[in-house]
Amino acid sequence: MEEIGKSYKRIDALEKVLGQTKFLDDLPDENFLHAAPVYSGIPFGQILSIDFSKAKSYPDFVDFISAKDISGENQVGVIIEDQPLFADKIVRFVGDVIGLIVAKSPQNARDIAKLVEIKIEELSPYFTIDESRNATEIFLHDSNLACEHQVIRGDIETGFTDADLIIEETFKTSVAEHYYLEPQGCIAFPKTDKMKLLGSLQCPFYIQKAVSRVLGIPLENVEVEQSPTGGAFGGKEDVPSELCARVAVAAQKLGKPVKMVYSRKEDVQLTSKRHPFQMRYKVGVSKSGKLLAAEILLEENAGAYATLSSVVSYRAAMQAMGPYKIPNVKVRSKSYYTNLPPNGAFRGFGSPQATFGHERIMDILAKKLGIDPVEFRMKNMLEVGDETMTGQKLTSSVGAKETLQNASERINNNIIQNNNNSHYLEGIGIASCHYGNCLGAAGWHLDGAGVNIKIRKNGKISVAFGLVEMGQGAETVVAQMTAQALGVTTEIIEILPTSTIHVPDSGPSVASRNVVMTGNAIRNAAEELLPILKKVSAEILNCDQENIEIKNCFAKNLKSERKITFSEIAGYLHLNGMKTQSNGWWHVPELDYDSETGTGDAYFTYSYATQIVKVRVDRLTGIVKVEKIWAAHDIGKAINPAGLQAQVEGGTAQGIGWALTENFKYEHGKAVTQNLSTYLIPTAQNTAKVETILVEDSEPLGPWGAKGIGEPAIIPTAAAIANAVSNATGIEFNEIPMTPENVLEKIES
Amino acid sequence: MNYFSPNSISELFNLFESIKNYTILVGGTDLMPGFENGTPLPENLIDLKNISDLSEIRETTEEIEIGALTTVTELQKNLVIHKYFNALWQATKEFAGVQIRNRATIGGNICNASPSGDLLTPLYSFGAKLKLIRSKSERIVPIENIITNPGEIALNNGEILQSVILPKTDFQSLFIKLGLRESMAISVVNFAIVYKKNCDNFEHLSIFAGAVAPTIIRLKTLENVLLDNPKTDITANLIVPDISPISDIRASANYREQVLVNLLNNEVRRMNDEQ
Amino acid sequence: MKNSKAISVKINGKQVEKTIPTHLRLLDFIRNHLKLTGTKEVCGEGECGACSVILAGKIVNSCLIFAVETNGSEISTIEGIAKVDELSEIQQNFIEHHSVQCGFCIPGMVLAGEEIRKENPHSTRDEIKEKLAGNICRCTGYKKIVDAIENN
Repeated sequence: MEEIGKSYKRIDALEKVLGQTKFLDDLPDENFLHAAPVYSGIPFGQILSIDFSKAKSYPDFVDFISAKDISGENQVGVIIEDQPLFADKIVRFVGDVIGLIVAKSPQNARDIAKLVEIKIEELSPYFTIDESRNATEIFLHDSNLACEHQVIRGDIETGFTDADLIIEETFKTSVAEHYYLEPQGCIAFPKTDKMKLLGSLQCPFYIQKAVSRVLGIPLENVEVEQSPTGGAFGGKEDVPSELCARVAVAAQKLGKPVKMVYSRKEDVQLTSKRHPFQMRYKVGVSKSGKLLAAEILLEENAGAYATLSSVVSYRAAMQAMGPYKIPNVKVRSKSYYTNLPPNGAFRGFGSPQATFGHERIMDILAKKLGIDPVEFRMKNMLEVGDETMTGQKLTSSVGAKETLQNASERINNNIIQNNNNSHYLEGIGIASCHYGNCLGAAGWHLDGAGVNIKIRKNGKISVAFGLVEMGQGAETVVAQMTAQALGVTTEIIEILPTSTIHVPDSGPSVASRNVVMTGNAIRNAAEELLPILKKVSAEILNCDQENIEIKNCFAKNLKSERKITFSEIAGYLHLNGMKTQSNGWWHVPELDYDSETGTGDAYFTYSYATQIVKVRVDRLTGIVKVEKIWAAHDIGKAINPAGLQAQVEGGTAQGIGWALTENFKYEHGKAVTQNLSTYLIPTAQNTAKVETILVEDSEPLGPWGAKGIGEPAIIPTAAAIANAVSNATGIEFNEIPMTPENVLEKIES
Repeated sequence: MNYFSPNSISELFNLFESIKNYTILVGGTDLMPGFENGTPLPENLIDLKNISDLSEIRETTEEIEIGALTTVTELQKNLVIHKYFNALWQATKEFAGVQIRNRATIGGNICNASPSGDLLTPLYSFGAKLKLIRSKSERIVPIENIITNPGEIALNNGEILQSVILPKTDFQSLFIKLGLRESMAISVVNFAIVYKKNCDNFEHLSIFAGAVAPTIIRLKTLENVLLDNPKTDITANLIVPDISPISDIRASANYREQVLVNLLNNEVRRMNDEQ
Repeated sequence: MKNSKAISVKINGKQVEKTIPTHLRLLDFIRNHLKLTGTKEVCGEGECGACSVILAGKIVNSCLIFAVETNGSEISTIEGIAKVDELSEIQQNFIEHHSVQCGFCIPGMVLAGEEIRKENPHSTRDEIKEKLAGNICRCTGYKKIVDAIENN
C-alpha cells in the first residue's frame, strides 16, 4: 500500500474535534507571571519620558520591563538591524512596544499597562508610499527606503521599439490582516543561565537567535518549543521573535516564568500585515501576441521597520512577470518605511501582489490585441527548456500550460451572456502564476532542514522535524512521507512537537517549503536506516539482503514469502544495541544567481497554477459574489490529495476576502477595523464553490516529485476576481479591495 | 457589580424602589461587546430574563402582542409573525448569526435604539406600539415616540418595556437589508415596505428606512409620490428630503443614498409587476 | 457579597456549585474556573462563534453572557459532546471529511454542526452555510466543514 498520494486522515484531527488540543492559553497556569505590552499611541515621535509610578502603586504590579533591562542587545531586526526590541528613543508606529508590565494576572497586567505615562514629542508621520518616498527631511531611519531589488535582463529599449502595442497601467493592492484565530502568545521559563520558550509560532530558530542576542546568552542556552498553533499564515513568522524576546527579558530579570498572550485588539494593532503594493507596469507586445519587453516598478509599504520586507520585495521582483517568457525586462522593487505597523509575511509573500499586476496587464493586453486571454497566455507561457523572466533555464516540472489548459476546459460550458434587464452582470476571469519554492537565492543560506527519526522498542517510529504544523497539515504529510520512506504504515508514526533541541536549525516554516524540505530530509534519514533494517531482517529471516522487501510494516523474504513484522525488527535492533535513529538533512542545491542584475536561478523550482473564477456583480449595490473557482495547481505530486484540496479551498477563501471585503483601515496610524464586524473576513456564505484540479508534473528534486502548495493556493485568486469583475462590467478594475462602494461608483460613473 | 434577577414584575418594581442607578440586561448581545470595548460595568445590573411574563406572545383577532424578552429565534419560528408580518420575519432571518439570534431579544433591539437595528425598520413600518409599564401605571406609545436618538430612548426611571403590539392587517410587506457581507454584517442600509395594492395603485403604503438617519425614518415624500403614481421612477430627490445619512467606517453617505435609491426602485418595480 | 454570587449549573451532565464574581463571563467561568479549555476565545464580541456552548438547549456565544445569568441552567461544551468512548457522528464526520486544519474554530464548529443536525438532519448546503455564518474559520474556506455537517 502506498502511503504517498493517499488522503490519509489528519493525525491531529481527533484531539481537535474533542477540544482536547492544548493551545498555549489552554495550559494550566502554574503560577506564571503575566505580561502586557506598553506601547506607543502615537505614530512617530521622540520619547521624552516614561513614568510608571502610577502603575507601581497598583497592588498586583510586579515590574515594568523596558530597554534598560536588556542584558544583551536591544535589537530584534531579522534581516536589517533597524528594530529595537523595546523602543527607547523613537517610536515609529502606533503599537511600537516600549515596555512590558508584569503582574500577577493577565487582566491586571493589561489594566496596569494603561497607567504607564509616556511623553512623546510628535513628529509628522508618513503613512503612504508616496509620502514616504517624497520626504526630504526627517526620515524613519537613515533614509525612508528600506530596501530594493532589481532584475535587468535583455534590452527593454529594443524590446519596446519592436513592440506593436505598449500598455502602461498602475495597480494597487491593499493591506490585509491575517486574523489567525489564535492570537500571538508565549511563555518564557528561565533556568539559571538558560531560557526555554513555548509559543504559538512558525519559526523556532528565528526565536532562538533573537532571544540569544537580546539576553546575551549562547544560542544553545535557548530552547524554543512550539505549542499547537491556531493558524499563522505568515503572521507568526517573525513577530513571535519580538514577543518571545520581550517576555524572555522579563523572565530573566524576575527569575520566574512569564506568560504573555495578546488580546485581539493588541494583536491587530501591534503585529504584521500584508504589504500594500503600488505597481507600474509597462509592457510591450507584438501584434501576434508575443511578449517583448516589460518595465515594472513595484513599490511596497514596509511599515515602521524592515522586518521581512527585503525578502517580500525580492520575491515580488523575481516573479513580477509571472509564468511567461519575456526576453527584455527591467524590474525595480522598492520598500518604503512608513509609520504603520511593520508589514511582513502573509501567505504568498509578495506573490499575490505581483500576480495582481502581471495578470491584470495580461488581460488588458489580450483585450487590446483582440486575442482570447487563454490563448494569449498560452502563447507566452513557460515550458521545459524555456527561460524565466530572470533568465533561469527550466529543465523539469513546468506544469503551467497544463494548469491553464485543464482549468480553461472547465469553463467551456459557462458562456456568459449578460442581459441588460437583469440587475446582475456575470463575468469570468483567469489568472495564472508561478511560485518559487522555498527561500530562493536571497535566503539560500537558510534553506536547509532536518529531521530526526527514531525507531522505538515498541515498534513505533517517532519523527522530530524542524518545521511546524500550524494548521496546514504538516504533521500528517510528514508522517505519510516517513512511512513511505521506511516501508511502514502511517499509523505507526508519531510526530513530536517541534523544538530547537531535536534537530539542527531548519530555517523558517514559510515559503511552502515543508513538504519539499522535510520530505527530502526524511529520504536522507531513510537512506541510512533502510540498509540496517534490511540487514537485520535478512539476519532474522536467514536470507540474503537482496531478497528482502520492506513494505506495509512487514519485511518479507521474497523467495520464501516468510515475513516478520516491523515490531519484531524494532525489538531486535534495540535488543542488540544497534542503530535505531537517524538524522536526515537536505539543503536546496546551489543557485546560480547574480544579485547585481537579479538574473539567474531565483528559486530551485516553481509551482504553477491557474485559477478561473466566475463572478456575479450586483448592479444595484456593487456587491460582487464569487460563484465558482476552478483551481488548477501543478504541485508535482500530491502527498495527501484531500489535504491539498483543503489548502486550495482555504487559500481561495482568503483570496476572496482580500479582493472584496477585507478593507483594513487606519486613522492616523491606529487600526480602526479592529474587530470582525468592521474587518470582514469571509463567512461560510461568502466563499465560492471550488473545484481543485491537480496537475502532477513531477519535480526530480522534490520528494516523490512533490512541490509546495500552501501559498500558490491564494496567489492567483484576487487577480482572477479582478479580471472577472472587469470582464463582467466592461470597466477595468486595477485596485483592491473591490468593495461594493468602489464597484458601484465605477459602474455608475 | 451587583447582579439582580427578579422572578416577577412585582419583584422588579420592589427592586426599583431601592435602587436608583441600574442597567437592564436582557439578551446582552449589544451590552457585552460594549463592556469588552471599555464601557465601565454598572453598579447594579438587573437581568429580566427570569420574568416569564415578559416573554409571551399573545394573539387576538386584531393584534399580536410580543413580550419584550422574545428572542429573535422565537420570532422567526412564530407562525403568526410569518403569516402577517413578513418584513419582520425577513429581518429575523438576516439578523446576525444563530448564536446571537438565540439571545438577542425584540425588547433589547428596541431599547438599544441603533439606527441600523434590523428589527426596528419593520416594526416602524407596521405601526408598532410599545407597552411600557411602571409600578402603578402603564402607557401604550408609538415606537417612534420612544426612540429619540442613536442609543437614546424616552423611558422614565422605573419604567420598562413590557411588550410590542402590532396590529394585524391584510397588508403585504417586505424587508431588504444591505450589509457589506452576505451574513453577519451590520446594515449599511435597510428598508421595509408595508403595502396593499388595489389594481395598479397602492391602497396602503408605508416605507421606512434604517441606517440613513439618527433613527429609523419614514420616506414620506416617496410614499406620497408612489401613492399618486406607483410607476414613478425613484430618484434621489424623492428620498433626500427625508434622510440624513452619515459616512462612517462601513460606507459613505453617498453610497447609502445611492443604494437606497437603487434597491427601492428594484422592489417597487417588482411590486408593480405583481398581480 | 456585593461582587460575587453563588451559582449552580449542570455542565456536561455534572452539577457544579461555585461562588463567582458577578462580572465573570460564562466563557471565563468555563475555561478558567472549570478548566474546560476546549471552548475558545477569538474575538470576544460575539462575531466568531469560537466560544459557542449549548445553553438550555440552544447554541450561544459564551463571551456575551455573564456566568451568573446561567444559574440553574444546563450547559454543554465541546467536552460533553462525545460519549465515553465514542465520538459523536458530527465529530466523526469532521475527521472523515478533512474538515480540520488549525483546529481553533473546530469546537465551536462541531457544536454548531450538532445544532444544525438536531434541528434538521436533512439541511441543504445553503441552509447549513446560513446557520454557520456565526462561526468564523480562517483556514478551511468552510467547504469541508459543510461537507461534514451535510455528510453526503
